[in-house]
Amino acid sequence: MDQVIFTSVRSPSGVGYRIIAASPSVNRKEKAEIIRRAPSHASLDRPDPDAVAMLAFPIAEDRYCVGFSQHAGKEHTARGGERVHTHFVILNMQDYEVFEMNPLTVHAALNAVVGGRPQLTPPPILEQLQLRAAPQSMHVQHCRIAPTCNVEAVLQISLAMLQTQRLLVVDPLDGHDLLDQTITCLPAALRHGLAVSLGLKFSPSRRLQLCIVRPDKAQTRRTVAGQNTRTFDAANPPERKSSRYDAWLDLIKRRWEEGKLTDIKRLATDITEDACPETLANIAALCFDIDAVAKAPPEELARLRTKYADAATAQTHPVRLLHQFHDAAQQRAQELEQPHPA
Amino acid sequence: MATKYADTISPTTCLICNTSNEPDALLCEQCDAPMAIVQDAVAQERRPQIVSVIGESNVGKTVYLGFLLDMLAQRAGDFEDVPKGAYSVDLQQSVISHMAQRQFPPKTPMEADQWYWAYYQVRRRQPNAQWVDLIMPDMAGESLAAEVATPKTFRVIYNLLNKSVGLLLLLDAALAANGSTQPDFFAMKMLSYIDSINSAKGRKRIDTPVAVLLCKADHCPECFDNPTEFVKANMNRTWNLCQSRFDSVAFFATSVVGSLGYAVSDDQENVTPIPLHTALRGVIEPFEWIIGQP
Repeated sequence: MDQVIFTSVRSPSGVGYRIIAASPSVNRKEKAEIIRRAPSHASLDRPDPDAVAMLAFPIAEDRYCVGFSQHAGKEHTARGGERVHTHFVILNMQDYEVFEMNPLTVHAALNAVVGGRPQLTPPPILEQLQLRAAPQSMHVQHCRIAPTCNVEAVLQISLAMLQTQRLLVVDPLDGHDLLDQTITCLPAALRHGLAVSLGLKFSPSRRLQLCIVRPDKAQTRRTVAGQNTRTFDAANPPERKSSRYDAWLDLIKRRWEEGKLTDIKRLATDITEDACPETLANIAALCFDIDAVAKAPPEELARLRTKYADAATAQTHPVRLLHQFHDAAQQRAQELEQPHPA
Repeated sequence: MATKYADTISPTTCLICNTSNEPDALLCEQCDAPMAIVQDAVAQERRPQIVSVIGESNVGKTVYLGFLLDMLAQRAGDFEDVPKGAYSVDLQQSVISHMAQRQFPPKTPMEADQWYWAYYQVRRRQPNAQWVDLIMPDMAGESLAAEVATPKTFRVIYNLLNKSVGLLLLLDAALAANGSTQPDFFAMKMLSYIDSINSAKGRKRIDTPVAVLLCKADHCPECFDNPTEFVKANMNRTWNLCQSRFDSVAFFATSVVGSLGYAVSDDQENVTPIPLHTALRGVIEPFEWIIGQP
């Protein structure tokens, strides 16, 4: 994977924030995009020396860029504040799929490589970076519901992303779990286009769709005015308004309450091409029917089997889900055929 | 310097990039310029003119602009000025209060929404002198360098320089006097960028007035004796380019800090420069020259 380092150093060719090293295949257009969005002086949400942040956005030519920002000592001009150091990795879509199209997974892998070890004097040309996803993130079975997360907040942020709105989320916690669960609930088709930051101060010039910040930034809220960006308080989410995505969100909520986030993750990961309201509503309806068929009386079982008899040919539903439905229907039919115990 | 524009200004259209914004927008959605500038310009019923302060990172743009605005506010050089909006005073206040505490002001971030913008009405204290509306943004040197290296990376800079009626180009004279070619090359890049912007307008030579400020001249006092000769001798490439392409260029030696101390601590690898006192020289003259251009 290509890598880019953006920070402030003094060198014979100049001073201040710039790209100080990059892989040779990162082109001029991609570098310009990184410079435009990269965090510079005093951009991390926390001023602490150990603060870290994530910035992720799609970049030119169907690639995705994830940055790991950290402080790297005092800025060399000594004009106050810590030096911000960001190590970017640029993934093609195949690589990104290995990380489940979750920028936090990439960020965690970057943390293992560069966290606490910012490079201030790298060679100007960087070799390819070998990143490995943390083992627990590679298996959907390990997906867990964060106890600190409010399902309504996750649903409403997901809805904003589905509707391609821009959102400034104010989270009294660090925002990591909230973002992780939100991405888990987002169809894969949307994840590759998500421009998001966590732990960075809000800056309209970064042009992000989702920005998660701490709640003490009254200035931030003022800056949002007129930017087509909505402020959302994760600790006190307002009542969700009805939308065309209700069926999908209701499914997520049901699975969440059942403690089956793994199911949501698997479903969302399978939706790679089309995440329009109709497609998501069809998938949600099938999932509800899979639930219903397990306890359906004979007439209802027959109706549901008829409903999905031609679905495979019509290609209106994911094949895996249809198999799951037919297996459940078959099992239910066998149960109904067995004589009731006296 | 006469006001060039007489057309009506819309309160929601950005003065810098002409993007239409929401009525409640504080910053332009496209280029992050403060919309307060537009609203103040509407109140004046005339379009302000932009004078841009440009230069490399750490050359002293923020300090220079802060002191310039403060000198104008104190009616130096027979000028008087009126800041339009409290936001216009922020830069001046930040610079003066930091320097009073013997600290340089914080580094200007690259994010355009974090820049200071000053909107002032300025005139000479003479009978019948006309007010001139001036906008002076404090841009980050890194953003300027990135824009020059890859044009349109920061559209706001392109638009600002394209609309500027005068430029204050700050160069590090102390570095140049020490034999560094960095200020010379930076100036060449910057001037060639301005040249290319103007070439796009079909101009053969550039008539936008450019004041070249030799900053930190207290480190090389010979600068004050003859700034033009200093540039010829130490930044010859820049001198040649100015001669070839620019009609209206003047050179000035400038110094703000009277003496510097250097502080180190056990837990810090950097040496921190401490401005012990200020001794302003050549701050108002470049501005006076720009204002006096036709």
